[in-house]
Amino acid sequence: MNIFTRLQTIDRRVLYLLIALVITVPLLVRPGRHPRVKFNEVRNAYKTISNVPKDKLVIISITWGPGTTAENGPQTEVMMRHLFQRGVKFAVVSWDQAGNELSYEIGKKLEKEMGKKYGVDWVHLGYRVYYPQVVFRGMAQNFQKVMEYDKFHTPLSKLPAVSGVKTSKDIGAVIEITPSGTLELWIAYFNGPYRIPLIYCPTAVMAAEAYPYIDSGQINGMLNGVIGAAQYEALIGMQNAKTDAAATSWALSAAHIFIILLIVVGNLGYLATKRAARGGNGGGR
Amino acid sequence: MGQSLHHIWTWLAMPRHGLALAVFIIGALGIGALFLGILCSVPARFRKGIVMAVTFIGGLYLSLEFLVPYKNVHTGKYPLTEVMPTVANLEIVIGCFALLLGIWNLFQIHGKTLMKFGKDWYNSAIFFLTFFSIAILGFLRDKGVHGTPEMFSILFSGFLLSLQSTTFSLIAFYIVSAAYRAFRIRSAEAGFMMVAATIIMLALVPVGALLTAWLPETGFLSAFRLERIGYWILTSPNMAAQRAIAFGVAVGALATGLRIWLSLERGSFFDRQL
Amino acid sequence: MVTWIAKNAPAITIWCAALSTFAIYSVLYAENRFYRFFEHIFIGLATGYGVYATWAQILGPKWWDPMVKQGQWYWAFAAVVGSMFYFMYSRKHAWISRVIFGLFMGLAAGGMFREFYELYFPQIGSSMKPIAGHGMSVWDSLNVVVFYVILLACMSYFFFSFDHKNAATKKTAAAGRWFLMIGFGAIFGATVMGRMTLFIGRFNFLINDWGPQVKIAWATLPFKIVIGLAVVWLIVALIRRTKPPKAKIAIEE
Repeated sequence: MNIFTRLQTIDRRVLYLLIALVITVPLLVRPGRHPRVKFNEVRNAYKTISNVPKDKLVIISITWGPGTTAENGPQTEVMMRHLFQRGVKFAVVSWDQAGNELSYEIGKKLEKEMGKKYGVDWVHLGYRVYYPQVVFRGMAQNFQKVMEYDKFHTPLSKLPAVSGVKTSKDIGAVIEITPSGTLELWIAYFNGPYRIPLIYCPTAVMAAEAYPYIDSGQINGMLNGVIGAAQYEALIGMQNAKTDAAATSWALSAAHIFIILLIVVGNLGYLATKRAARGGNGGGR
Repeated sequence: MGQSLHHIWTWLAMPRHGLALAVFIIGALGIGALFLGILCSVPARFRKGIVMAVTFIGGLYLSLEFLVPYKNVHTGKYPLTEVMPTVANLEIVIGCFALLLGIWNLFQIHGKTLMKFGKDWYNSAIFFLTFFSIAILGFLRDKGVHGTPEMFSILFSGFLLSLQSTTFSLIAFYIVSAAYRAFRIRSAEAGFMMVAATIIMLALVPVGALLTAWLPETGFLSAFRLERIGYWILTSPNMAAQRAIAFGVAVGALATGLRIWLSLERGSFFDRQL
Repeated sequence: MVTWIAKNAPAITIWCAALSTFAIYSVLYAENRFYRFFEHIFIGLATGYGVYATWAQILGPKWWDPMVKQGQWYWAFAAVVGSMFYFMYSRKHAWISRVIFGLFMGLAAGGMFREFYELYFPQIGSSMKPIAGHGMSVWDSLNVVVFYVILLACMSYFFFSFDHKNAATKKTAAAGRWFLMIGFGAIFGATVMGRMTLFIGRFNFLINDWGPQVKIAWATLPFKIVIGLAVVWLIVALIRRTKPPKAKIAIEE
């Protein structure tokens, strides 16, 4: 029994412990260095937000909850940060119950840090149920009637950031931050018919499937998981900030190399076992 | 005739207050109960027809709104699109009434266990305790009761957020285990997939760029940098393959949509005897 | 008590979050009661929060307040229609719930024409790419050729209207399967990244949020005693688990 065959019998819990150790080091060091490479779709997202007129509202759509905070949280934070930097007003609407609390907390944290004011620079529309077919279309026709109030039941007419928003013509862009297949619905019912720019911030699992929409121009920019958020952070002048996204990108580097090594060792073991079995059965054939 | 109908409509739609409001609400609920009573007495042979008709009307509205965008020549507006915000509000409110459907099942299961002090009864007890705690604390927090925002935060961020994100993250461990035990390159196709996956895994993270940093940033050789190869795979072969899949899905989605709209779909929901 | 909790809420939250994290991760070692208990806490909190959020954010301000506070009595009809969902619990009248489900399914299905048009027409347009001209380099032209080859090959793989008997279609479809593997490889690579990120997120919390709290607590004697007891309990539990059960030995004997 050679080393590769013996490695086949390793307990899965040992592997779990090893992956935990592998990612611990970058998280302890927390390198502030951001990814040097920036994908085109991230640059395009940056350009799109940079070109939104200041008199228009940006909608940040939250479809994520606690399960994907590690990916969608940094995306939400970096998009809000850029909008605050530019002074473009935005409204956050959560289609996820718990995402409602989480996105509000991110907004509050940034509001304090960047000296902004709730209701004037941004609003949170709270949790809404997800019936996109009619809600998106209704929102485009009469934003005030469908959205009506914010998270604290304040009528939109009393919130300067959104009081002037009547129809889709007053909306400058939509940022969809999501771990599920909601992209198509925004394109079909909102961004497509009304020609409103769309920035897509999916979890990495969803990203590969979005490239046809980038190619056709139906998505104006994309942040691919937490790496996309880290790349975007670098674009808005946070190259050396010790953020969660930057630390995660290095921890991911270590984790990916470890997984590739596991695949290689696993396959070598598989080959060794196969060869040994063939040797045993075939008698040196 | 039309004018008197309009008068009745305006009178009915007027906001009511106090006793009048109570009477109107009770009246509406009474009419609703009567309507449900009539539905309950519908003979079995008509039931399927009613479900089909309602499904068809639901789909017809959105289909017509798109396919036949009728424009009122006097107002210059599209009436079917104009009523969309009202339809949206109705769907939102009515849809929310389905909220307790799943919860009712949970209450039944855990209620039975708790009443009998059955096996692991403490799990059922903690289910009820946490269910009511967070709901009540949420309402108290909104009312501004002292200490409730912090207690709510402990339940939400301390438990709910942490439990859900940790549960989701368990998959990472299974991926590690699968990477070692299950991802076997048994065929050329599997090898092809694994090579693409490996390149993507490296290209997406900063270490990928560092591994081939010795290659020049411009010129012919720059095309062999890992991040460039990875990005090319994503934006060229992957994009074309995903588009082909999307075209296949498109035809299937259209067919499924039509089948549901016209109640032609088969399966446990659609075939059951009503 | 309430004031003490309010004062120490951030630290309590972090400790509770760490405890929850360990409880869920304990399943990686083996299925256990600790994990099951926290799983029920999760279900209770998630459903309880769902009820609160739906009432506080939607039904309260969009249905109850207009009906009761603004006197729009006709919203009472929404409750009647909404109650139709609950007929699914009646064996005799379950079909009534299908009326309302049918309406919602119809509304969702009715968007198919718009979805098809808005989603796929631009995709079809975007698939008509020029092979040369407009200042395209050789590399760009090659990329377009690659695009056409992969698109057509993959589409032929999904084309089931006739049998793939002809050698040309058979080989094209086979090539399509190869190209699809690249797409699946890309999805797989990205999936690994996504799932790892979630795990890293939890570890980031343990190291950078909970770690400092542990450092503070370590300075106190009660904490050291609790940790000592926990370690002893864990060792005992592990030893008990590794011992073979007596009943099993008896059977084997």
